[in-house]
Amino acid sequence: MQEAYRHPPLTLPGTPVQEEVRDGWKVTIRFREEGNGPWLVDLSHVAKLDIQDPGLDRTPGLEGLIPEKPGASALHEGWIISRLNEVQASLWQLRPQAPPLHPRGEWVTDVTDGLALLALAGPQTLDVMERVTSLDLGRSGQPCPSVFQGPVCRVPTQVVLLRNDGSWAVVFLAFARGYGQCVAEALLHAGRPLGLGPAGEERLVSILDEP
Amino acid sequence: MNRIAPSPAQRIHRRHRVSFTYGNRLLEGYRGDTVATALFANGVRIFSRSLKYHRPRGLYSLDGESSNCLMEIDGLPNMRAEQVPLRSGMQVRAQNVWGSPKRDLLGFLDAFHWAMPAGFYYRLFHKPYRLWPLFQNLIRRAAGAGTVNPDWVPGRTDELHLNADVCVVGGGPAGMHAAKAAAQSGLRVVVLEARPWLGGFYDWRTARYDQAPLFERSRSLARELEGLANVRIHTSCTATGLYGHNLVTAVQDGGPEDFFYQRYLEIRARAVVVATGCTERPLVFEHNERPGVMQPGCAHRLAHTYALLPGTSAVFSVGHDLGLEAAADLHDLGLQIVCVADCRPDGHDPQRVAALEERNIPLLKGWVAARALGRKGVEAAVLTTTDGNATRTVTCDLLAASAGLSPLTGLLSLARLPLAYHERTGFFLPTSMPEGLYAAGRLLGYDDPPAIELSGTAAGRSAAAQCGALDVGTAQEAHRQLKDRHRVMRGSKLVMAPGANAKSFVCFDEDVTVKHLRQAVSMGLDVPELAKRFTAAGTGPSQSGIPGHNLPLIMAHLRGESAGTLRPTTVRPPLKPTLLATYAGHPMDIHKKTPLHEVQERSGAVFHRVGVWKRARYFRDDPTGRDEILNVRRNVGIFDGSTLGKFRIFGPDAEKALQRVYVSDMSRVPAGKLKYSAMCTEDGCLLDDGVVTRVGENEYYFTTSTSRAGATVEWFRYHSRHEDWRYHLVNLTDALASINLAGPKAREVLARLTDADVSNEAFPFMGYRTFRLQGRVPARVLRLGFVGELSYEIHVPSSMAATVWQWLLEAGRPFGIRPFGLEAQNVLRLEKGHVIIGQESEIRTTLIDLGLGFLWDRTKTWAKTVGAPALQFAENQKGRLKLVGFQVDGTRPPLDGSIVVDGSIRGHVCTCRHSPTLEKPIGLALVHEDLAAAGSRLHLFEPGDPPEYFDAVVVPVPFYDPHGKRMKS
Amino acid sequence: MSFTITCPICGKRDLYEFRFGGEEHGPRPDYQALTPQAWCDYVHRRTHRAGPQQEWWFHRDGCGRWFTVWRDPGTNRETSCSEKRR
Repeated sequence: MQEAYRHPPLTLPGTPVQEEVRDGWKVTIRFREEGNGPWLVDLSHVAKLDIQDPGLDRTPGLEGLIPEKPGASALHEGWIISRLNEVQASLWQLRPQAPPLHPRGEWVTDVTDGLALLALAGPQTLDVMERVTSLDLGRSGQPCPSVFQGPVCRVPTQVVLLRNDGSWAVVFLAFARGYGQCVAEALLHAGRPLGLGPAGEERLVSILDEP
Repeated sequence: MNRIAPSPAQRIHRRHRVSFTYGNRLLEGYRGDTVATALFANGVRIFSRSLKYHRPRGLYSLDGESSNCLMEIDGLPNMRAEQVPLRSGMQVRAQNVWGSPKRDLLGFLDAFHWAMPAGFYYRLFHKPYRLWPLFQNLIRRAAGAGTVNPDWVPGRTDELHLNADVCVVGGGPAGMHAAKAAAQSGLRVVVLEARPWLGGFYDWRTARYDQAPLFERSRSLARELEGLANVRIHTSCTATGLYGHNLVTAVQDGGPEDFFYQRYLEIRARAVVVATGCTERPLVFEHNERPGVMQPGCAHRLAHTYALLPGTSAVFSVGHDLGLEAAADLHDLGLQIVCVADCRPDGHDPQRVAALEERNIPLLKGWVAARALGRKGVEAAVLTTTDGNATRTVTCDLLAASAGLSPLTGLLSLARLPLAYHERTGFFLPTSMPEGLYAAGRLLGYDDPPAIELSGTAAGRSAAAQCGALDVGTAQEAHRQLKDRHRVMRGSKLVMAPGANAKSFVCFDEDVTVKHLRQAVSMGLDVPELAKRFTAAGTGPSQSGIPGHNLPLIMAHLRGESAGTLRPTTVRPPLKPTLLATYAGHPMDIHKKTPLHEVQERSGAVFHRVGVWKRARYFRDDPTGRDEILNVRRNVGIFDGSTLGKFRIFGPDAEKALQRVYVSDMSRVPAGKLKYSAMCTEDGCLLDDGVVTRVGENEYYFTTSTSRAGATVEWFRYHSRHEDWRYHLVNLTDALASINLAGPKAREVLARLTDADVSNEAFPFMGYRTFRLQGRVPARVLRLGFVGELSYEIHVPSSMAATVWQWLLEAGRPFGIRPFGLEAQNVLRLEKGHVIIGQESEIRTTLIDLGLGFLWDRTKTWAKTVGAPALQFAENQKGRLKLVGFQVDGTRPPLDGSIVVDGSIRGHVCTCRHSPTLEKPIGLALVHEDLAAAGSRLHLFEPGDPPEYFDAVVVPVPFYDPHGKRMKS
Repeated sequence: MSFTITCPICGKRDLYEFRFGGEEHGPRPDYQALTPQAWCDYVHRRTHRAGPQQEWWFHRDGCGRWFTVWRDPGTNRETSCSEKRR
């Protein structure tokens, strides 16, 4: 097994019982006690790209994949693609087995190491979120997936609301890497009375698999 | 326990007894009791002593309008016992007494009230002034309420940030109907109710409307609301603030099943309905705050909600039909009503009058209570006609008195709505409401159930129309109906009984009487805002709960003017006192850690906050970093510079953008080499510095200082906002870590990690190279010389930084490698005379003052560089401060910030340290240009206790390796 | 103090997510023949109308866009929203 030479910006509390080394990262697949949710999953190791291009909709390699309107987000074969403004999009590889995307050109910057990425999912997810942000994620009629840019735990964050079924929701939070540990701890504190606890990649994949 | 037969409206649970202690007494109450009602049930009648006069105070109201029941509960002072739910094991103590509330040794002060006129403390106690400290101590110990316990640990708090379409403040009948109307339009509704249950003033009333007693009607409506998915109800939740654009703040007290002790709420709503109802307007008469005097509504609620008889033999002095209803109802529950005085000569509800007649209770129309007799409790009441001509004294132990109703306009006052006197109701109300804010219910003066409920519905529909969920016509229809069918009540206008003077309390909290107000008016302080500050009326913990609307009415009367001449005083948030711990929330210090935080921690780093980051200041044990410094000069050290700003800029107009913000000529920035430049403010003052290198045809990589990294993109975009330039910025500050490998052995260490040619010829000073470390980790390597030695800034992906750090430690072991921290770096760069922005510069320090004028290209006016014109205008300015190096006579360096003095202040010390390399104290200072020449003598003043003086001489910089040979080797 | 600003990308948000960039007062002047007075006016002098004015705002905690709005500082309410490119 290759040794892990890459380190994530944060460590979630808990005992990992299954781990995997992938691309130099040690990824937690499962924690010993994951409870009934909601769950917090660290995805800081996944590939993340920033694309800035005045002709964003015609970026070679991503034709037709980037949503047209700022604020819209799309899930394409395991990648979350969010339109941040007229000329900028972010791409995150949520599924480990997602086929690679190859956007070409100077417009692309690999920001994998620049952002901490957390997934917050399961029952009462939005109840946790309303304790750490005033972003209106629960607005009725809010299309999903969509991306919000605003403060969470007072840190500027990209928030992707993937799904909101009323009682269950799936949310992704991306923010500057340096804040990783503090924000994760703040989320766990806010969500503890609601049952928030850490979970591994397997939990996230099973949530993404759900219809 | 002496409780009466259960009322169908009661809120206590008689099967659940709750034990608690009061002082050293073990007592019992029921679940559902408040601390005050439980104490009352156990015979407590004197709850506290007043602030100034130490007069006995009893249960007057149940909603916190006064400080009568402020007690220490479970170690927390100043809790309103009438609003704290009783919990098992609670420890309740009286406050502000020497002895007990019943026998307070300071009670004698009341006899000296004449010596304490309005504002006496402004005029006494400081003549002669040297006695003031003595008086200050005495007053502090005698006055004040409660003792803070520094060991008290707050329970868990919670905070919610809600977004709603309609926020309804007040869960009484009007509020509930407003919420229902808004919810029916499909909107998201939040309801805030200060009491533990919805229902408002219906909750304890058996009077019937629409074939059901009012309490049943409100509880059924409450159940209906609770069942609606789009309505969120927060009870025990008081709105404490109302801010611009309908931001409502509130504080909720946690119940026994809640995980929080207190919760802070912020609600952003598109429309807000204020249905906060009324409080009973205090009647002002002699000794109107004796224990045994209480609001009629308080008496009524004690009986129905808490199954407590408020006394044995009662006199009522009322100004509103609710008082008549309470009297008849309490009679039926077993309270002997001696008589009811009603200050209104006419206009009574005939049904209420008939009810009193049926019960043989004398109703004295046009009579009012003028005096309460009894020292520690009411023993009799003196009643008089409103013109003061006839009097009669009646024995009683309860005097239920009020002058009618006052609207609770706190939130409207916070919305900065000017209040004007409304003739018919006698209320102070806003003349108009801003868009998005609606009022409903008793607050507006509606008095009977159909009007109150219709008013709520109308407000709810207007709110829904505001949110676009209902057509405006439907909303207006409800308002039309309201206007056509209902009138607001005619309020009683009497507030002060005849003869009200030295013992007629206008403000209970601060012991302010009618006599004090007379004194204030006669001294020219004849408007409420002035009288409030002079007499302290309304400045107590209840923030005008008792004086409220009474103050302007009484003062107008004292001035001989009509009732509406004056206005109530301004109210400020929070409307209810709340714990600071609730606002503070969970102690979360959100900060940034670098990718090298853990590895440095393992090496013994001591971290400090620098802006939003935690950075290693020094390593184990030596805060001066002396060994770290010498090790860099002799061997090699590694430093975490990851907080450095790092940016990628690309696009056809990237160069234009650089030209706009950097003062140097940025055309022809070479590849493979670093160009050092600076950014200035529009005043030509140094803002930031860094290096730029070209990495592609229209692409550059540049660095900034740590403190400016977060604002760089903002700065670029701001200064090109009128241009049509196409360029893009990516902030890589967090994406890349920066390890500074510095020292004469640095090259040897680096060479062990790469096959690339790192000789001085292949990779000279100010060069930029990219290669892989250990064949794996991609690195951008910059040869700079901030600390004045051969050094490499190695930028690697953050996730790999810890690994690279370990590689360097291992590769450098034979060369004596050691990590060094901020303090060591500070001294090393000081020895080279290198500036740290914000340390060697102030916001008014220009580039030229710092000796960096050579960076500025004055010919590129076409670029309209930020700050260039100012540099031009300022370059020949006289009398500016210049940055100089100095050496201190003696061995101890003065503190940073010490002042350069020469008859006047001539500058200050920016940084001064003992240099281990040079074995003497050196520093950088900003001094007046007259003192800037090498050889000038400086006299330094170091503030302190005692202050110290130093002598120094200006010397050329750099102090160390003046020709930079070592960093270019 | 609390009011909201409408960001062209993110919509209506709380005041504290933004940084105020001052009155809109036109593009940078030509540097040729620039007098100290003209430069000082550009840097420091503003109209300060007691009524709706066009202002620059930066969405610091959000999308990072510089944009203008018309806002009345007397009521803190936006009168209309117009977008400017960054």
